[in-house]
Amino acid sequence: MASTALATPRPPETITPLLAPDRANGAVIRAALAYMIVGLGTFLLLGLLGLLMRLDQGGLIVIPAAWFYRIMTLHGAGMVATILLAALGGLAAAVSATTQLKARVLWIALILQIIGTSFVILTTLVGGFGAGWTVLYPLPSHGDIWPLSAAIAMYVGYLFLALGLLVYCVHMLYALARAHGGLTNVLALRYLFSFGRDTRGALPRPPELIAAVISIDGIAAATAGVVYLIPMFAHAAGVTSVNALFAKNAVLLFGHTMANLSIYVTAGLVYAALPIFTGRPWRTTWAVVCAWDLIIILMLANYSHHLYADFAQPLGLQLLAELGSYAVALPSFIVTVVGALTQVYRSGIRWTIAPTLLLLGIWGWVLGGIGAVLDATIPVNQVMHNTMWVPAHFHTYYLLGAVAFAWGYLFYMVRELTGDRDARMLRVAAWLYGIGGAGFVFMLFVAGGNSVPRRYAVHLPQWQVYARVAVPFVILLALGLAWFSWDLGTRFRAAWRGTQGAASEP
Amino acid sequence: MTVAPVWEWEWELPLIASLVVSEVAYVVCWFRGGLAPQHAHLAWKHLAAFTAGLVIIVIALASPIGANDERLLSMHMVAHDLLIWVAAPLLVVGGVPLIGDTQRLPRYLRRALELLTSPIVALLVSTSLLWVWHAPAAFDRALASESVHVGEHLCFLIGYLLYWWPLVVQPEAIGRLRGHLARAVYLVVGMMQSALLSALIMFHGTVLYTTYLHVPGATLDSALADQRLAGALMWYPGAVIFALAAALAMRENRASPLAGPPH
Repeated sequence: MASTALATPRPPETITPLLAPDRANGAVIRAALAYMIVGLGTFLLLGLLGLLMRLDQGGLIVIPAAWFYRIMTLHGAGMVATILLAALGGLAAAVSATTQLKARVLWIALILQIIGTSFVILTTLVGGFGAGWTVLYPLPSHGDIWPLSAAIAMYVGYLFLALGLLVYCVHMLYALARAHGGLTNVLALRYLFSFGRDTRGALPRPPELIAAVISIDGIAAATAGVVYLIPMFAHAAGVTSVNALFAKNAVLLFGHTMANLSIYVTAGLVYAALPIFTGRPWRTTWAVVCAWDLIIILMLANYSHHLYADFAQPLGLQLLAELGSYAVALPSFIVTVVGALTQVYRSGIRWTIAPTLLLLGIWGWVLGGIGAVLDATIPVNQVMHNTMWVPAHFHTYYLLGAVAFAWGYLFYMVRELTGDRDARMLRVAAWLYGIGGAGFVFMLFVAGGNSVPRRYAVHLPQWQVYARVAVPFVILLALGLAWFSWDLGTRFRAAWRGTQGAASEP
Repeated sequence: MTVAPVWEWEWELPLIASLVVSEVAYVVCWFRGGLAPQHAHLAWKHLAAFTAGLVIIVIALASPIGANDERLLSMHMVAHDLLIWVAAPLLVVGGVPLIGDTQRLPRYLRRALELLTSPIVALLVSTSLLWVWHAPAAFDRALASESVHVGEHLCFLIGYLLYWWPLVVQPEAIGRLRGHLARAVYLVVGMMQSALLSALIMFHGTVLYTTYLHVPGATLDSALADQRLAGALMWYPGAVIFALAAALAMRENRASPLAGPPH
């Protein structure tokens, strides 16, 4: 469908609905729903683990230290994987109306990701692994609390996660390139380098451009993961020694990029869904193309800001990290934020739950991004990096940014598939989520500002106040999420049926 | 590890005879065009799959893998892996087309088949058999008695013939799981339960199956190391098999992944 339809330029003014006119993408939408339900469902469970950690840090319950680190590892690794999973599902849905994806490949990638996640869950909860989601060498191999077999199982889990990401990204990139007649076209490179003058070919829609960008970075991240894991396996087998600095660079290029991908993928969902509510198409302008094409390089350049404290890291990489961190924030950030605000301004938008969450996500992204830029500044980083400031910034752009985008997009999908109007009261749930989330992350920032260290199982009494103040906000957050889940649960079956009646996968 | 493995094949007559009879019977039926010739769709790949399944059973039980299963838990696990992850799906792929159109079976047989191969029953039976036989008391009992040991392996094989049935039989066959979601859930649940069992074995701090402590040359440390290896050998290959199964089973309902043209 897409390869013929896209041979001629598409009018840039159109707003693309979720379902193709003949529902030919129904099988892909079902796979996308599965991604989002698995991703966001697991997010809820892992969020409960987060609450347990905060209660422990507030001195309200006592979790043995070994269990705290297991939970912390599972919470961290699981959140990175599952939020990305939900995001990838949404993105597949967003591009599927105009790009022919194979549902079968999406399901295979999903199962690979679930297999990887199951390894992480069992390794932490049964195997006792607690070295943190970053699995930084040499701690996994030399921890006294867990056996080496647990570290190996964790690596195997990461290998499956990397493989799942790789399958998804390669397929997405292939499908987009095929639909647009090549990678150059889907990245709009001729349009970019002619400064917007060469408009001969059909430009990709913003979600398609973003999908191509994140697929390239996803392939790079998955490759870095494999590059990290192979020497780890060899080391575990006693075959070789490991260069710790190289290992740290590789694992952060893998893990940090995966974490970054979540936010950028979910930003793509805003481009896909917001025009539906504002009635204004989101055009592929030169600024949009430039910003997102730059992300390909900049997202891979900024991971090294986690290595400022490593004196052996080459200075060039440190500087590249600082510049990359600043630069990655600006183009896509400004283009997306300004674009979203322009979309909304005087559009007469009806503030149902989906656009409310999408706009909340914009603010979460802005605030989390500012926190990240501050942390990426070398003198600030030297003081703040091992404090709660770091969880504060990534919880902000995850919880209030990427996750809000993902929930918002899921509500949009369900609305489109069921044809129902969202209940007005549901906006209250969005407010509960927003206020609860904001209070929760604000207390992390305050704790970081007061030099409370991160990754500590036992908090001194004078540190506990920040976690205690956060707990009521977490409860508001949980109420909001429970409301989301209840509402979606009651409509999900109808949404699933809404994808059917179409021709099956080509 | 201080337990020395043996490198011999154990040609047990009942095992070899039953496998040879099965193969001969299959080949005869295959050349006749199946048990119900007018409705069977048999291809060379079915013959190859069934034969490969039987060969895998021989490797699992008669090769040095099987010969060492009472000395090393890790070898025992490899034998189980081969039975449930490799032999069982191959036998289903090769064997079911022999029956032909399952909808045309006698009513009582069809009813029984519908019950046994319904996904929930198949999942429950395979899971229950896997877990019950890995309980230390049952496992040690199997190691102590040859007949119980044979029963254990038969249970695994039958349990996993049922498990793989809904995923690999032809689209029109009884018990076939339809839809990506149903197949994904079925695969994931099957994977998760065996992964959990593997992890429990792998990370257990004491020797679960005490028979292996009494093998000549065994020490507590060697038995524990062997147990860790056994858990890993059950877990990691299982994950790979489920990933491969996903790649095959996630095809659309139009045709079975391994269905061949009419013979």
